[in-house]
Amino acid sequence: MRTAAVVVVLAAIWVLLWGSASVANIVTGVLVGTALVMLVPGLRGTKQPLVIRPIAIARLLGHFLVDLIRSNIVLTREIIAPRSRIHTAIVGVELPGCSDELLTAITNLLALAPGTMPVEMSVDPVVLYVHVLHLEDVEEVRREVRRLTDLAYAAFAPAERNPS
Amino acid sequence: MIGQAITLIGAVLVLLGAVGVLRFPDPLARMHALTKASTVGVGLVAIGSAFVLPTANDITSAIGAALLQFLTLPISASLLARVTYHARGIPSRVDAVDELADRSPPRP
Amino acid sequence: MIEIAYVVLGLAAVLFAGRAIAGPSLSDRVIGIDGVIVSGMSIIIVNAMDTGRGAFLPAAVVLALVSFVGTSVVARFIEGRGE
Repeated sequence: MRTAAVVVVLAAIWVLLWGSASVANIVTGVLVGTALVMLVPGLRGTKQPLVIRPIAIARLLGHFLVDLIRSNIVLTREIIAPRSRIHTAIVGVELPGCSDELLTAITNLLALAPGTMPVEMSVDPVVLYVHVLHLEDVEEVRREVRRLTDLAYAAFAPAERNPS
Repeated sequence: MIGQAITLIGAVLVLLGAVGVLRFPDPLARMHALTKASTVGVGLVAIGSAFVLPTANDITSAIGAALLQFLTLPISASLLARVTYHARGIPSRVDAVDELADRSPPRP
Repeated sequence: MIEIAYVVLGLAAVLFAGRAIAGPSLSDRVIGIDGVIVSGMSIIIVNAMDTGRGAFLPAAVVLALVSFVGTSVVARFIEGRGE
């Protein structure tokens, strides 16, 4: 997104933390945002316009919420069960062509998804290793991770070719 | 009334996370319990509080705290999981397939 | 109903502290402490709901940041020590 949008987001976070949207807070927020963008080298926005795809983002959010509810149900069943059915494994999933930001988003989403926790990542070739609680089928885990990657890619990435 | 009910469900979720952290056999599995149950639990507690708290300032602070926890706990848990797996002194139990076993840990 | 929430969250904090004391490895202890901090955040929010005074809610925001930074620092430490 452009640099002005970054300043607006930072000012919004500042106002949110201060609580009330008074004029003093907003002005201070814009000043702090501008100072941060000038001082921190990685914070400058790119020249690409901000592309918002509401349908794709809504699909990703819906999948994410269903995943949250499912993960808690699965975990509750596991915690209450008298005999544990834990059968752990570490599965590697290749994700060729993913950018760094997409990998970060997928890692965070996988940490909240049912049964998976990202453990390690190799950069060349791009492989994400996830730790699974109940392993039933290795290919099923890979399919799930790839489906999440597709949803995240459809929601966020600029117009490029699909990695998977 | 509905706010208190949602908060109570969130509190029960945090308690389930605590039971899971106590019961699971292995540090990696305990991280599963912490990130999935307790994070959603705090989120529900904050959402329930939005119905009850009087001023908007308080509501944004509570939701901001839960949102911050939501964003940061997966990151720190993945970092801890990676380091726990590679550490020689901490035994990690992996029952089935382990596709990471033959890779040496990357340099810090 | 708020009293039940207090009891439930207090029990959760005690269980997390149990893991922090008993965990054989450093990772277990830091998970336990992280859980105690999460329980503390929830208790602060429930207390604000109960008394109607939200003076302690910024402390919950700070606790979230502190737990994140603390867990990451301990993870770096384990990586350096290998145990």
